[in-house]
Amino acid sequence: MESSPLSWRLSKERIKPASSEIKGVIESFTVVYNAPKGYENHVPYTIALVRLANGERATSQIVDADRVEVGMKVEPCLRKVYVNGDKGLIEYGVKFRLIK
Amino acid sequence: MTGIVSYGAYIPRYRIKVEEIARVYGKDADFIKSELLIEEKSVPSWDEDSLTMGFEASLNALRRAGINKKKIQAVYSGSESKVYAVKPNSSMIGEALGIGDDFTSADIEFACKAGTAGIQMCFGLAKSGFIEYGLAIGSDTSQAMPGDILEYTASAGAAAFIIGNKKEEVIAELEEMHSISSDTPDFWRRGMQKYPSHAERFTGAPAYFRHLVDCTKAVMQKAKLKVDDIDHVAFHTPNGKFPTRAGEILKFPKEKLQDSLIVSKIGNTYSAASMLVLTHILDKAKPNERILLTSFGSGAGSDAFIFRVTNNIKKLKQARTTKSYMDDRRYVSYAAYRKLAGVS
Amino acid sequence: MRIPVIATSLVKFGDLWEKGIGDLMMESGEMALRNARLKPGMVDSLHIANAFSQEMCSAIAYEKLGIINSVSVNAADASGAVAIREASNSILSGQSNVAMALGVEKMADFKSNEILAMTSKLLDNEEFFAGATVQSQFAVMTKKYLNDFGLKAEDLWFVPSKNHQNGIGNEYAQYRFELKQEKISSSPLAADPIRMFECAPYCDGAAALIMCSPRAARKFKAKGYLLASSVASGSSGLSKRKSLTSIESTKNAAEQAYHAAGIGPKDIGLAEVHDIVPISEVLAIEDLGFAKKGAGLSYIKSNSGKINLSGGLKACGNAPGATGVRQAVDVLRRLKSSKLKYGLAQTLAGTGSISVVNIFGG
Repeated sequence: MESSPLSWRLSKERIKPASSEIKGVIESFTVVYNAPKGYENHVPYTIALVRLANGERATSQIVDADRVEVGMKVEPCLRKVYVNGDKGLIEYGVKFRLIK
Repeated sequence: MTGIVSYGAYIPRYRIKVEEIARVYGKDADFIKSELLIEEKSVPSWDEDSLTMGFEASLNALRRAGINKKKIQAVYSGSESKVYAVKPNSSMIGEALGIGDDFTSADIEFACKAGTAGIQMCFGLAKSGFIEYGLAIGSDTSQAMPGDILEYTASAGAAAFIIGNKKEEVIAELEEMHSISSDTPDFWRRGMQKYPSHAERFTGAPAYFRHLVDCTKAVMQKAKLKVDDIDHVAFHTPNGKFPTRAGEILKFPKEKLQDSLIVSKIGNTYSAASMLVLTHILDKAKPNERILLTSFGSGAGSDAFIFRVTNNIKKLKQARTTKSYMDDRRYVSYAAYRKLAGVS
Repeated sequence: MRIPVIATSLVKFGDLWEKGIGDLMMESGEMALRNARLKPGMVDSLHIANAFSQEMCSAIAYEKLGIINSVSVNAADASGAVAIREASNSILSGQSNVAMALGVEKMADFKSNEILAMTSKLLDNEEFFAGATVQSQFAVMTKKYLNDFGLKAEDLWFVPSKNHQNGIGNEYAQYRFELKQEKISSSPLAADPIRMFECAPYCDGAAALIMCSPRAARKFKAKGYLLASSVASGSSGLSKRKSLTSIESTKNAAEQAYHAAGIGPKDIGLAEVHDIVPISEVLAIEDLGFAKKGAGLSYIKSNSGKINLSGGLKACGNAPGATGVRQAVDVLRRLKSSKLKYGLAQTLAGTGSISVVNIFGG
């Protein structure tokens, strides 16, 4: 989004899990081929519902995975999520990658 | 005692081979491989950048250390691919790590030696007692123009060092430090340009060799040490050829230069280059061993350090080693490589 | 509650390039007024449902229809259904003797990636940020459902095929042709395992209905009755829900609506449910209490003469502002011609952040 204050408020919550060391398990997922505006050249990407070790759940992308299956263990990592064009802010967030 | 308290590395998992790039441009892969002593290089995913990688390497450093991260009072990020032209990687990384906001930070540019310049700054602040811990990061997702010779070597990676001044925590004591700087136009990038320009052979003798060799000689002399006193050597790695040749000039035995050759598998990670060689060395260094690191940044300059490993290195906790990042790799085609570079 | 519905109107859904919001409002509004033999001045309140057009619909209603008192309702795909509830509230409060619910939408004016972005904003912030879409989140629910109940993706293709079959007999449906399962399997994946041809297409359209107070009913001929209208909210984000295979908002809206109408699921003779993707129809059947968890698909197969006889969103097309009203009009008209006693329309916003259940009597 374009709003600095909004991006700032949201980014604090979005980035916190990156240093949390809280791992999770994939509960369900999908591979997106039909993407909304701004995400088209990222396809195909995997969106998963992850159950975290602290009992909460998160919806996020799975990265660096050759193959994704329900039940796989994942850990958080900080990644770029969305770039607001040439002039706008770059938004970061947590995605998940498979634990070796 | 001032020195390194902890360290961390990060290398993205994708790789592209020299053969794959050469195939697209009709070049002789074997010739390139023998000239550069490079086999393949790391490729960042589209959603990785100098910030995300610098953050990972820093997290690994924190995992290894067991220090109170809120006592990190300086963060310096060195990169020639910093995320914004104006908005610092360093403060974003510091906040993302959760170290609080009582820290000084700045982003540094000095081509491939921006990271080691940050290490020096942390040493200064730590030794003078202004800070308890400093975090110095070298991180780059270096870009090369399609078809240019640099395309075979410009890669991505990050390394982070936590610098401190407590005797019981320092794992590698800083024994000596020396730098030289000059105005040398070997490699540069103008503001609005996407790719750098370089002066081909001029990047050799008047640039890399002059600065790195002279600086190494100077630091050895300052420390009153000889080649035999050094156990591990970390030189800047624009390719495999240059550090090998520098080692020959300085008369270091080949075995001591081995670690610098990780470049043949991961490419030139620019600001992280010599720093990743150091993380690789520290993964296996033993107490009392001496490490020499000399970086080189185009423009040009070199920073040289002599470290002495302490017993504290045995007390470090577990975190991913540089080798584990090197071994975790997936090859991509040239098309996928360009897609990853072009997506935002 | 037993509110007489005195007029219904439908504009055929589709890519209506030549018609704008105002034209569609005028067409469906005037048709409804004529249907009830009403002058615009006799409409005490107009509840306009429009999800995405960003136009001042109440001003347009004044210019094109001559109706003075109108308010807009925006609840994504459930807008039309919510507008019906708002109209009924106006009647029940005594404020209106005659209230119209009019739904209108012009989705063909937008590009597909813009639609995906606009509808993704309806998901919660976390999902929107991750690059999720309504399709991807239903796909996550689908995968869980298939795993939990031992089904394959192809098993669900029965739903869009059946709805297309039903749509052939509906002159107002956008698509009136057979959809064979081979056609579905050859379409590209939208979000694994959901394929493009399983998804209801967005389109343009309008629908309207007019209701009146029981007191004023003497002057009019009732075409049917609104017996209950419940709007319930649920979590928009899947990560905040109790279950991936049940939509809480539908269960709540259904429970409240059945209670208000004094009936149960077994009394419902026909239903229009939200089939934006196959799983949403299956889950609707279960959450509305027609079938137990996991038995939704079998129920749909053995009750082919009951669910989405209009062709559903799949064959009619989905014009978000209009869909909820279109479903209601379809139910009312079929109740009238079939002499069935009770009918139900269920509509979702997004993946269930809101669910509306409207119950009608013949």
